[in-house]
Amino acid sequence: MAKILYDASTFVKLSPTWRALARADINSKYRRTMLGPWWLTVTQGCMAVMMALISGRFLGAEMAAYLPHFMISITIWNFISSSITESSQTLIYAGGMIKATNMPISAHIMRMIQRNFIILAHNFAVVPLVWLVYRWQLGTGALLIIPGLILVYIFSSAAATLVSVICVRYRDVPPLIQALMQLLFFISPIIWMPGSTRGGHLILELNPINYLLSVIRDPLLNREFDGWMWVGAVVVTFAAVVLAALVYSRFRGRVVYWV
Amino acid sequence: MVKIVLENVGVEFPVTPISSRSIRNVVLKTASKIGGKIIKDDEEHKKVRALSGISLTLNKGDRLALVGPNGAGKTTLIRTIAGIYEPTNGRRYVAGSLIPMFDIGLGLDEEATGYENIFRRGLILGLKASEITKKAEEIAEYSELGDYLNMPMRTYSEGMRLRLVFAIATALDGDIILMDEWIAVGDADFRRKTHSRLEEKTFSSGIVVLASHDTALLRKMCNLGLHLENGSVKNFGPLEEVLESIEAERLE
Repeated sequence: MAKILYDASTFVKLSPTWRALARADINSKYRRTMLGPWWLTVTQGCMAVMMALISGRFLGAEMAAYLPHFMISITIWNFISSSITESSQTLIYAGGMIKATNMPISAHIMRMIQRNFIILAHNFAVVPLVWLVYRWQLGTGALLIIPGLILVYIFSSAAATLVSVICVRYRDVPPLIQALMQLLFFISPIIWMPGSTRGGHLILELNPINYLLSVIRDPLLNREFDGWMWVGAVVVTFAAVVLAALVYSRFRGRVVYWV
Repeated sequence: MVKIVLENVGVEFPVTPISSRSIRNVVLKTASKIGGKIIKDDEEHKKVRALSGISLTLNKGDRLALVGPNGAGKTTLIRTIAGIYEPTNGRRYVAGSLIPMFDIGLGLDEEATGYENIFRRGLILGLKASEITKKAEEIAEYSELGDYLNMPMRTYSEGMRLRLVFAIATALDGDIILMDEWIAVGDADFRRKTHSRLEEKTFSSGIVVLASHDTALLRKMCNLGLHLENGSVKNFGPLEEVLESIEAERLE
């Protein structure tokens, strides 16, 4: 118990550290490029334009509803999916630091999450541009994206913690995680809109990603407030946190031997 | 308060054989047990007892030398003090800020400038941004790299890189400094400069633990010695006594 409290206190004390390291990682990756990290926004914008041109041919006037849905969903999905996929390698890559410094394991995971969060912020800059084109109604309900974002951040951190500890112990799990992410991509309402399916509602109800996407996307698109989505998101996040806490507290001391 | 206390500390490493690193194998093994078949488990989970029964107390002003043959457990012990390895049994208690200086080139980014790398190293060692900025001037001066500090590290020669890395390493002070074997690098002149700077620094810190084979260096820096062999304490006391007993053994 004392160890968990120690980790929690250093976690808070060190949060400027892992946030600064995350920023340094991003700067390092985009050094010597013309636009720096804003290339992320540009590539996201290019995808938006291409999707608009291509699916415009198939959907016609429905584009006004489809493109905003797609852009917001794919941006949130990229954060969740790259956090979890990257987490399968995070602790393995951080091996040198785990064996030579006394930073708690969680700091390495949070550095990766924060890095992906900075990328999310840059990608999200495309959404106002999409709004300028399609001008959908924005209500005060849009403020709900803040608690929505917090939930998604917590969920991703917890899932990343769980996956990274498992992957550092069992080295053949990373490809399984990638396969799982691909599956989740197709059964989540990202490239298709939630109302447009003719069956399979049970899958949608059991899919955790569905709730996490809704709590950010629906307020932003001014859709009607659906309390069940929020309940679902909170339950999913809570479950992830509990699982991650159990695995982390039990195995945090062993990671240094597995890495 | 600055203190290090180890009470009967032992550290065991699990040695996980390749087969148990695969979740597929683990699942198959478990499944085969349910069926009642006996599969020969030819790779057992071995454990290596790296340290056993280590007890010591260090207070402010103590500068401990860890000596012993290769494989005795010096690296394990110093990392256990640092909190990297958790004791499998016994108790570890440390009070004061801890600077573990094990891999001094860790976290360097070749594409980043000298100043940026100073910042990165500081972050990795757990310093706050304000503390690092305070130290940066001093490090910059000592490294004598001048304007090169604004250029990316990949433009540095080996000697320049070494100067920067050592300048950072020897500039940081805390209540407890742990050093493992890195300070015996470089030519004689460089070593002399580094050692004298370390002497200045270590006098200002609380506790120093230094693992090294360089007895001349240990004699300069340390006042206590711990002789480790096969993971247990063979001798602990004033440095001269410990070193003399090792010499005496060798002559037998």
